[in-house]
Amino acid sequence: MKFSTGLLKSLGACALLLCLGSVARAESLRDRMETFDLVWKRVQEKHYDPKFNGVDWYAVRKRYAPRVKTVKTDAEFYGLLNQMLGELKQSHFGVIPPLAYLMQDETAALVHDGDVGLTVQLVEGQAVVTQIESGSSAAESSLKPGFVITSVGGKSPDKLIARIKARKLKPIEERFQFRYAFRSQLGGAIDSKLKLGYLDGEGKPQTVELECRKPKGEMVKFGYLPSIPAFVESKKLPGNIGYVRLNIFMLPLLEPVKKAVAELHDTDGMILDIRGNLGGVGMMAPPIASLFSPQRGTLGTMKMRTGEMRFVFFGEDNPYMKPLVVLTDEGSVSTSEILAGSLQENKRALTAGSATPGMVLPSYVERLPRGVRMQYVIADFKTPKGILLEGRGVQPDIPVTLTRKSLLEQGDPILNAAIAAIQKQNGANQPSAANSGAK
Amino acid sequence: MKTFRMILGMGLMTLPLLSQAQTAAKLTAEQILDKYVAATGGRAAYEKLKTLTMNSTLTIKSQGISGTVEMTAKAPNKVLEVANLAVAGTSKQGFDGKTGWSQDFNGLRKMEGTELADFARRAQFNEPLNYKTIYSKIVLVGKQKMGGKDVYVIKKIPKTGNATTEYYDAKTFLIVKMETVSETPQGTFPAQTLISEYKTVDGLKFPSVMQQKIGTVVTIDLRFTEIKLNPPVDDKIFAMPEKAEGGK
Repeated sequence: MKFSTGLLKSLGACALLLCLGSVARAESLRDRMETFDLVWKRVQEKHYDPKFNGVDWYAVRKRYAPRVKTVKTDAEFYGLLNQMLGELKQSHFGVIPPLAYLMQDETAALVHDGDVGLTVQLVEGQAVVTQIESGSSAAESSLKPGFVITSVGGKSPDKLIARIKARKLKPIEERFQFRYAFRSQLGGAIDSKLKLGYLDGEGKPQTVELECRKPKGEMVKFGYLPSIPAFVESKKLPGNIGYVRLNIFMLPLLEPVKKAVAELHDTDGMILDIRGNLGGVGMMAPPIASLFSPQRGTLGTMKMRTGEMRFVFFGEDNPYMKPLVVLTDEGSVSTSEILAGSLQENKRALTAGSATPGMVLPSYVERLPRGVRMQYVIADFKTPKGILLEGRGVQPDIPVTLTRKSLLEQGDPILNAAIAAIQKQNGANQPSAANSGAK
Repeated sequence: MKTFRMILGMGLMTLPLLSQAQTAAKLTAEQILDKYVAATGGRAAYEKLKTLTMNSTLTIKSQGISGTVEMTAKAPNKVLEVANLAVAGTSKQGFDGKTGWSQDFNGLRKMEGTELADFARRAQFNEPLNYKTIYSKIVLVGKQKMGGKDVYVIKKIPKTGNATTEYYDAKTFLIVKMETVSETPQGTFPAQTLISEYKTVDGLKFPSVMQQKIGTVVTIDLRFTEIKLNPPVDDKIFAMPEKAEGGK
């Protein structure tokens, strides 16, 4: 079915999202073996590569099956399952247990009812505020980009940072893991209060109490993914530059994105901000790409075990054709990487910010018995030039390394770099005084 | 959409009659297809049918996705398929006898090439009666076992477009499985449709429960909730819209 293959096969779901649920009863050995078998089989049946990315998947089963008997708690069991899936060394594989066992797993990103409106990233080895959501409790406080968070609810981020550092990951993986693990601490029940300690712009220790509020956007749901707040934000920046931001690729946001681009059609350049966008429905990328092209093209191809699917965009009659810059960072994952990488490769857009993590494998999230969710990969994805983005990511045309200094001075150095790039492109496109014959 | 094409194909082809016991005599492909017509309604019943609507529910259990599909068809070769999925809104495909079109979140477009040929062929209202004009070749592949039962396997090869393989129960001559290939701008997708139940409507038999597998990845369950024979249908609904709903 074209619809299902177009939409569902290309579901590049968010990595590492959990659903919160009520506490489940402890599972029996029989239940665990059943879940183990299902998880192993899903990979065996559905992985796009019949050779499982070079991993002897049958040998993996032989190694892990006996260990199911030895785990003592459900948390350990789900950890074991994820360890087994980790043998594949690919993104978008994971088991999401029916309960917040993953409070113990700092790589989980819990979706709270309320949040305080802060983005905190690992900058120069510290937990630094990089963005503050408009209308949030944080926006009404004394916090600014560049401030260092020293505690949340009395807990220092140093332990988390040390734990992540001990894993000896690539820097981008460290930043990704920190960002989404720490985010789980920046929220709580709506109307609850959260006390933060921080160092201000002069390095002086301060404290602030923030209120957890309903996150920006409307809650949207897709299949067995947890509900996620989804929003599109748009405005005109000084210099007649359009700005569109979407926080997730979910289909209810497609019309708002189209509307935003249409409303900003008379601008001299546009910035598409997908920083911190964990991806979502892969087939949202083509209609968005269409907004910026007069003709048909492709964003790339996903290859399943049997068959492949092209991410075809059809173009628009009246597309937006002024300079376009896409903002990315280590939080731009999956569908974000497909869109950014392909627009870059098609030379329709520049990208600015930091590289993306290279987690670009179309996947499904399936519900297994007892409320367990499993995310598994069903296809690889390559750009029109045949480049596999998984593990590689999108390298920015305009790299911007965040520092405390640049954040304190500029607020949003990545956005500023994008604005400068658009102005430079427009300046280069203007006829020179000599060429115009002006005297 | 391929599912709709499946539904359409099944709806048009499985006009019923009570099945009849058959001898185990060696049959030709044409004889099997004639027995299918007899088993599902007979030539006279087919010829009385001028319009058809079929509504179904669609579920992809493994992904927690559900919705509805509405199919409207009119002789000789018009069809409209509308899918409503909570996760993705409304998608439509239509053929007005000349132009095939598709409308979804990618916008509105005309079908071309093999995609158009396949869709146009599936829009043929009385395909079981007219297969000789639709297909350049009908091949009896043979007799096989399927789920412990004997089935005849017939391959229908069109003049343009992709072939279809159908599996007919050797006793009832009802179709129990179809294999198709759909061409779209996004790629070529093999699909297998299994029919597990038939439903009688005004003395005619229709497939009522189907499962469609697309590649190794997606399994779609379809359950027909309403089938109407000869409802009034306005030709306008099959025409390609002037612009996409919501713009473009």
